[in-house]
Amino acid sequence: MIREQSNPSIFEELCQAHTGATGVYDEVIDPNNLPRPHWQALITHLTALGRTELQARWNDGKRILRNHGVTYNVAVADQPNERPWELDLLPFVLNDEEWRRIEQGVIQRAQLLNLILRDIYSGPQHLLRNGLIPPSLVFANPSFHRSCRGIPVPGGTYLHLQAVDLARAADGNWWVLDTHTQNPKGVGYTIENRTIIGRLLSEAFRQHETAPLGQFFTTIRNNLHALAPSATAWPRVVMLTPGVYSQAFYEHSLLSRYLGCTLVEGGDLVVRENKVHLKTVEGLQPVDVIIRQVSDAHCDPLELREDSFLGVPGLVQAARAGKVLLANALGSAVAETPALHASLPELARHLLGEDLRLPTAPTWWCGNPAERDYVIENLDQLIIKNAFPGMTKRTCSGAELSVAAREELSASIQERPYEFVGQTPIELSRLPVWTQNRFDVRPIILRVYVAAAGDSFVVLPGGLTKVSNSAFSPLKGFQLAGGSKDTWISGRPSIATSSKPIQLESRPAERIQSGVPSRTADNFFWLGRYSERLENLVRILASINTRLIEEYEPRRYAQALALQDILERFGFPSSPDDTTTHDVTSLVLEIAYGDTYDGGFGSLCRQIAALSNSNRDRFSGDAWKVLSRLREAPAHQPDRAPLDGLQQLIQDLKFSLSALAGIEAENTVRGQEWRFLSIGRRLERSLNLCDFIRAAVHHPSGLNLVLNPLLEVADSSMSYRRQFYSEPEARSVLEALLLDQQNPRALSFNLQAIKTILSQLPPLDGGETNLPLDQPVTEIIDRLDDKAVMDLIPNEGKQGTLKADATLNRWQSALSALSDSISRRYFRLLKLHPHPNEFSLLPH
Amino acid sequence: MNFLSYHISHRTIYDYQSPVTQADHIIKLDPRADRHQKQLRHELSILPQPSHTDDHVDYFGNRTCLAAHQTPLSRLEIQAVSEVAVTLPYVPEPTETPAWESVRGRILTDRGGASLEALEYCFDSPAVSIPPGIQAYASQSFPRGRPLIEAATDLTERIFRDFEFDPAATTVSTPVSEVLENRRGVCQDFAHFEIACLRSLGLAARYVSGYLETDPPPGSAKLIGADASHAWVSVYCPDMGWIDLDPTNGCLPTMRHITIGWGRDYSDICPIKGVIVGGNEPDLKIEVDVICQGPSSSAALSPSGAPSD
Repeated sequence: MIREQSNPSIFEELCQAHTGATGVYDEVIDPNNLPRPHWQALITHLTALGRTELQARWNDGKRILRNHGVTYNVAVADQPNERPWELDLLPFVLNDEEWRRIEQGVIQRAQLLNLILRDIYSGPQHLLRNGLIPPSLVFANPSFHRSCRGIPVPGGTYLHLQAVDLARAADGNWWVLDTHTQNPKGVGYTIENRTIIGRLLSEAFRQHETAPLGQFFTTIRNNLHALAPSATAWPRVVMLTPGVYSQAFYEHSLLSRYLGCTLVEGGDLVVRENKVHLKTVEGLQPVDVIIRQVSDAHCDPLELREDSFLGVPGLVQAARAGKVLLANALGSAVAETPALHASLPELARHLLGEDLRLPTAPTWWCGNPAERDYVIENLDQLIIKNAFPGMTKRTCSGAELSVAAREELSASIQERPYEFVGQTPIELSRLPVWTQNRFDVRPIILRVYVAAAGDSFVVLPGGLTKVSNSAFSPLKGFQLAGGSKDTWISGRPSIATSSKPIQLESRPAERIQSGVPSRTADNFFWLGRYSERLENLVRILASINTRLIEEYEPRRYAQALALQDILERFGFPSSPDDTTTHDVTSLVLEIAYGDTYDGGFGSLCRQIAALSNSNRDRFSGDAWKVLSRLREAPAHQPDRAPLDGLQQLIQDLKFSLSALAGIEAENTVRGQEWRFLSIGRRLERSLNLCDFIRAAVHHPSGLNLVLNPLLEVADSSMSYRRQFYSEPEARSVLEALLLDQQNPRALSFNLQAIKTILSQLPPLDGGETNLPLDQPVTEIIDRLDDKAVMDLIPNEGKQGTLKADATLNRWQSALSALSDSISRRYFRLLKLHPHPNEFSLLPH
Repeated sequence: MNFLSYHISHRTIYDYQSPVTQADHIIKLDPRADRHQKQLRHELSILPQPSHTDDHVDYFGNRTCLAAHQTPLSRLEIQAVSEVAVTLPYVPEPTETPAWESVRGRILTDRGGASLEALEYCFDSPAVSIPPGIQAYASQSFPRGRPLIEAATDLTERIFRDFEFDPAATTVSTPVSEVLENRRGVCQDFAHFEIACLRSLGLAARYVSGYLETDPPPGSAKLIGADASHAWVSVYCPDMGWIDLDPTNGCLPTMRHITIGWGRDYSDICPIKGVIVGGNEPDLKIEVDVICQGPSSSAALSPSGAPSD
């Protein structure tokens, strides 16, 4: 390792980066330009590493982050727009003594907010009657949901997980900026940050005796199990996500894995007799606990926002009937009302008999006339925010407004005073961030998470430190966008448990296997079909392209042209409309890079991406890497030598598809997901083979011309040559591709495989009396013999193709019938959900 | 006290063009008791028989039935048959009601039960927001110091005069701003509009869902199913309670108004609301009969709906 001689050491640089400004708290360096004691070990470690090594490690970190596929969504129109998660190398270190003060303050606040919700939603509303909470603060609040009043809440616990955003002012004291009581974001990313930084700086991590995070999630899970309204020993817990388009979908998939629950969308659930059920391939299965990532208003189109498709009709009633635990309880958002902050000190004294330990940044609610006047007079020194959650965001800093804008704002406040609060801005403390070989200082906010544990609460010993993108205080507070840091609580190697953790027993094995959601099975079935469809297309294009770029040879070129005709059978006509006619070269390029055709590379890769995205929680890291490569493959058309570029793309796709098939074969448990994936793939392969043969039989040049390409597309050239040592001949080629039970590309092999898997699918529910599922397959298998092969080879005249057509029709319609009956049997429950096109709200 | 008894039948039929595989409905058709109304009988029948039903009293005190169908439907019929006895609502002498500004002050400062409850009806609600221009319209009836009910009655009559009844002009979700601009609509729109007017002044106003007994055109017999559900407004006056106002007919409600229930706006007390899967664009038929059975000494309404007294 080379130590830089001329450059300052890491320590010197940190001191240089020290703001030095008064009125701002520097987290690392004290006013005497010395590192604060609890940073000492880390700084020593970083200095010893030196900047080259630091940068090298950080490059590793970024690579891991990329490989894990850590992202968040910035939805643009309907398209999910994934952004990489940003993480800084340098963690935020807090010492245990200071952390205990924060912890106590956050727990007290959690208790307080929980009691407030209890009074508003199920109590006699004492707090409104005696004016401790101004009644209009609740009644004018769009996040107070009337239909949620009176719903029983197990254990009186409204808030299973909350987040509190903290800022440190110049005097070193912490202030609360915001609380999040509905579905706080970001806790999943704390795990990801810790995994990476804990590894990169493992020596310092140990020296600091950093508190681990895992226990916190066990506590959440145990607490939910303990409160679940069910007599069964193993309550079923699901996490309800708005779906792949939601900003935090990645986090939902991560967190559901961490909490050991099934990730579901609204369409996966249905309410029957007031009980929530999950639609699975084994029928409806009761759900006891829903960890919801869907906002209050969107949870039930029947009793909450009627234009929402994210929720489940009847969910409010299921909760009212006490049949389901919702975490957090419906209606919880009202506790994050910024206007409530002004009342908290008095509420703490009244409800807990204590002073508020952790103050909120001074907040004035304009619903009270005196406070409104104060805010209007001091507009230039305050941050103006919405008083209520769930309103269109319009936070602004009075100081930054023009005179005209300030007057306009003050008129709006006069008109609807109860919709505004004014808050004293806190000058955020500063932390260094590692950017391109050096340290910069940035303002930070610390988001702390607190979870219910029996009668009390526990705090995640760490949190998400958010770094502002600019050197100035982030006005809008916490957002997923922008940088983040791992947060180390130093001097506390094991969690000081303020709760008695309940030991989690291992789950019975069959319970884990059962109940794959129908949507998941459906997605895997189609993932199998689309990846096979892509492979088929890649192989056809490969056969054509090889012939186009090699030295001209008449028969080989004729084969390329025949394949061009065959592509028509697969939905790629050379004349897609009246004005366009593709020659063979432009046709293959259009399929590979263009968007004329529905089933081209681009659209298939997008389908595969969409299907895998919405089941992200079910793929291993390796599988995810392969899928990521697939989705990015056909993005750019090469500038020069387009056919050479295409050859490269074909190679890339072949590798990725082989890797995917390899993972499917050797790295995947033979569970329900795998069965549906595999049936989908084998069904598609069989159908494609039939399509190719049919097109070949009908081709004017005859079957013989395309025997070589047929073997290539079926990836069977090698095995054929080994068996026959001769130029392909129709009968033996067809025998090899149809009857060979040892070749995974042959029809017979695939049908047998389908039949075996069908016998392993879950039995029917609801007494459906269809014929056995495998009947259509069995019928083909029974008659798949030499005679069937001969029927496919055209004799002279018309008679021959008629026979071939009849045979191929019989096979293909049997396979389509199988696909339909799988859908009908295992995916039909999915149709039981309001869908924008099918869903109606009835007038009276 | 003088009561009139009514027999009411409210039948709603949905004919679906394709089968509905799942249906969930919230039904609020159970006439609630009030100072001037008693319920004698109420029966709700749903065909086909729902897979599951639940009854509860909603946040606003209205009895609510939730009905779920889980087997395919091609037609759904919901019929409520009710008998109620109605007396003339209490209306204070308008000139003796308090000045409207003092009412606004008391709602904000009283911690008492009735005023606290009234505060619930002072703010924007899902179907009623206060667009610009509303306060200017309302203020013409509310000069400084005018007694609340005198001013509110004046507002009600102005809406009746200024707005045209036009079932084609609006839908169930037409916002108040559009009603203000076009000045036409049906009872629901006028009720929402008047609620917005009253709330824009800081007063408490709620939406009342119910029925109005109507007369057939002169010379013809009353047709079966010719009545309709109706909606009007109620304004809060401390110590006197809630006073009903009917902007569609420009009057204070009479013994011909029968209350089902109330909420902040239509969305809280919609008679039938549902979420269905399948069945695109159902054919909807509603038949309402309001038949007076009891001592017939009430004041008659002319067909146009203007009060005769």
